Amino acid sequence: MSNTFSHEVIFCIINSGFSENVMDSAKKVGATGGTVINARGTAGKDAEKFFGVTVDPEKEIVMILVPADKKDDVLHALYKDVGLDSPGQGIAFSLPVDSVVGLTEQ
Amino acid sequence: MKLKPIFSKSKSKKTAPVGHKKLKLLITVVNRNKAEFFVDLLQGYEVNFQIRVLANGTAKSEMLHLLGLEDEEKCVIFSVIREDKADEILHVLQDKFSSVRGGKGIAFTTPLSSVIGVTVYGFLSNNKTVVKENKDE
Repeated sequence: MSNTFSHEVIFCIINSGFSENVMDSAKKVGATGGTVINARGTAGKDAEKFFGVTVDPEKEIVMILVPADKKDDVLHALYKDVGLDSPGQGIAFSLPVDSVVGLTEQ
Repeated sequence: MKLKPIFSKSKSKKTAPVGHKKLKLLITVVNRNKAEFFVDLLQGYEVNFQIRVLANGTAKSEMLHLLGLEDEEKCVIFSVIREDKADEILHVLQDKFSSVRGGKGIAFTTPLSSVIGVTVYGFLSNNKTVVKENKDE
């Protein structure tokens, strides 16, 4: 079995309302579209107090399917534009995708 | 690598090999009004566990027309499927995406690296033998 995957799916968890920023950032480096899911974060109250941050529980998860060779660029762009230091406080990670159907060639 | 299918019609039940098939997470994104249809479709392929989540597409309207998609309101279906069923399921989905009116969507699978609990594994893979054997012991 080979370990090369043709696509990767990137999940970006971000404060509610910032999904457009995520897509803008991802599109700049070649992503075409994404899907936004509403979600709710659960940070520990103690940790919040200790680190002096408030975690907005309203989140959005942006799911972006990208060709594997564009994954690094997209993750990097997300880290720079909507990372934890930005108001969106986004985190992003990718999962390998072994088969895809339904993608329209562009 | 050649593996014998675990659900082959074996003549003797006692010697039926109990393979441990890997699991995959199937993620299907479709229009909201077609979600029910796809959930029902997937259920026919030994899929015991599915979660349906409401979502929105991000493509702008001119792009939607270009791709033949019309709706921004989407539904994401997360289903746990068995590895040996993945190809079949993806084929069926591809077929439905092109043949069902308004049923365009995308689907992809990603490997699940681990599962804890024999019953949970049995449930997710619809492998009744695993659960039965565990009960006998």
